Amino acid sequence: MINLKRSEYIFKIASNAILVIFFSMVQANFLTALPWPWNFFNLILSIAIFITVILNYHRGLWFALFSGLIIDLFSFLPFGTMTCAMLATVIVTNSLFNNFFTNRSLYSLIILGFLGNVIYFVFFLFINLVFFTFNITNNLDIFFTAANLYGFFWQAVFNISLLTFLFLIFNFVSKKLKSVFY
Amino acid sequence: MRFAVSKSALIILLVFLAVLILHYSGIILPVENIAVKALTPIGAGFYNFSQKIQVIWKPKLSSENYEELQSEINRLVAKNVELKMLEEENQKLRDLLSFPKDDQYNLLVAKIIGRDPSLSNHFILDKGTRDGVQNNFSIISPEGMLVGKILKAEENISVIIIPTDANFQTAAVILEKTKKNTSGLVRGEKGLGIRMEFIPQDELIEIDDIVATSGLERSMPRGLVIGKIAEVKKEARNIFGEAIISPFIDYEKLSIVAVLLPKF
Repeated sequence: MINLKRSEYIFKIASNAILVIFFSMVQANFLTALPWPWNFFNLILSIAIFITVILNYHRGLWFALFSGLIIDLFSFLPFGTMTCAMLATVIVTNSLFNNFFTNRSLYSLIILGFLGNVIYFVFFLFINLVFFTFNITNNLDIFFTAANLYGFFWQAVFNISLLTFLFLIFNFVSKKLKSVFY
Repeated sequence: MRFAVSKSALIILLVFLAVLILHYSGIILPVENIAVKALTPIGAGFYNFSQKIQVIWKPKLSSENYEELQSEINRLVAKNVELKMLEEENQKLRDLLSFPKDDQYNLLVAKIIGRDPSLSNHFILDKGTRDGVQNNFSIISPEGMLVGKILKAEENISVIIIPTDANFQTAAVILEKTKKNTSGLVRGEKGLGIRMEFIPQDELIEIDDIVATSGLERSMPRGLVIGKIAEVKKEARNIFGEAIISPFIDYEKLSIVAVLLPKF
């Protein structure tokens, strides 16, 4: 019985690890190579927000940590930038959810999804500003372009669309999804 | 407003902090290299898949052979520039018959395995310092056009910037019909285009003149085609003029490139 539980536990850890690697590689190598504005689609961020708000905050944190670290491996930005922005987004989004929202409805998810995108964007710029201040990076100006701000708009549109889709799918097959994420 | 960091959040933040310290102290570098090496084939697969999707995505032009013909035109333009450079070089070396003219670069074929997740003008190659790649080495397309240069070389992968990136700059010449070879500085415009600056006002440059590297920069050989002049900007109050360059290649569609490894 104990062995069965342990094997189940290992299976869940392994399946979660595979999912994290899969989504991170899709983000790093597939979505970023798509034409504009699709390359602003932030799958990792959407999934992290979805797990945090709908499923489980702690698993959202772990997802943000590991997916962020994988993305950081392939990023030109100083190591830790993406992970830090992801973790901060999950923590602040969860705090907003606990303090200002009463239930896990689609409306809550959409609003939190939008706020999560804003928080991520702000933290991303802030972290780069910090790195720029300490001379760790020297290309701050590339973030403050019209194309990037326009891209942020599209990122929010895509991410909220995905969150809505995930929510509807989750409601439809919630038991099946829970067995993977729990 | 209640804002409490839970115990597990604290643990995760400590784990993150530990990873950061280990990373910046270089202790987990071997682990990172193994992870990058293991993930690179998966990444390359996803990148190739996205390239295939883009082919379906973008509407096809009238001729099915358009891509092939465009590639051939690019190759011929590059060849033409190379010949012009050789002609010029031959003229200069006519009296120096004993001059050793060896090819000074080796070509290292590399695959583009993805883009930087945060900066779309940064491409990731599957070759790194282990293969001899170093920062600032030039990258060319299969037709011999300039694709960019290495921005950051790591052990197994490297990041390149393309000429449209704000951090890209290189010395270049305009190969005019008058054969005067006007010099200038080529810079990226925040991912939106390529601009050539410091062009003397009195130089007669025209639309469609070819722009190539001048070879003044270390690790950047002379004669790599960057693009052609699309627009000339000259104002009487300025000392220098500017030009907008239109590249011959679509950087988005590249999947295989070559790194120029200096032999010396």
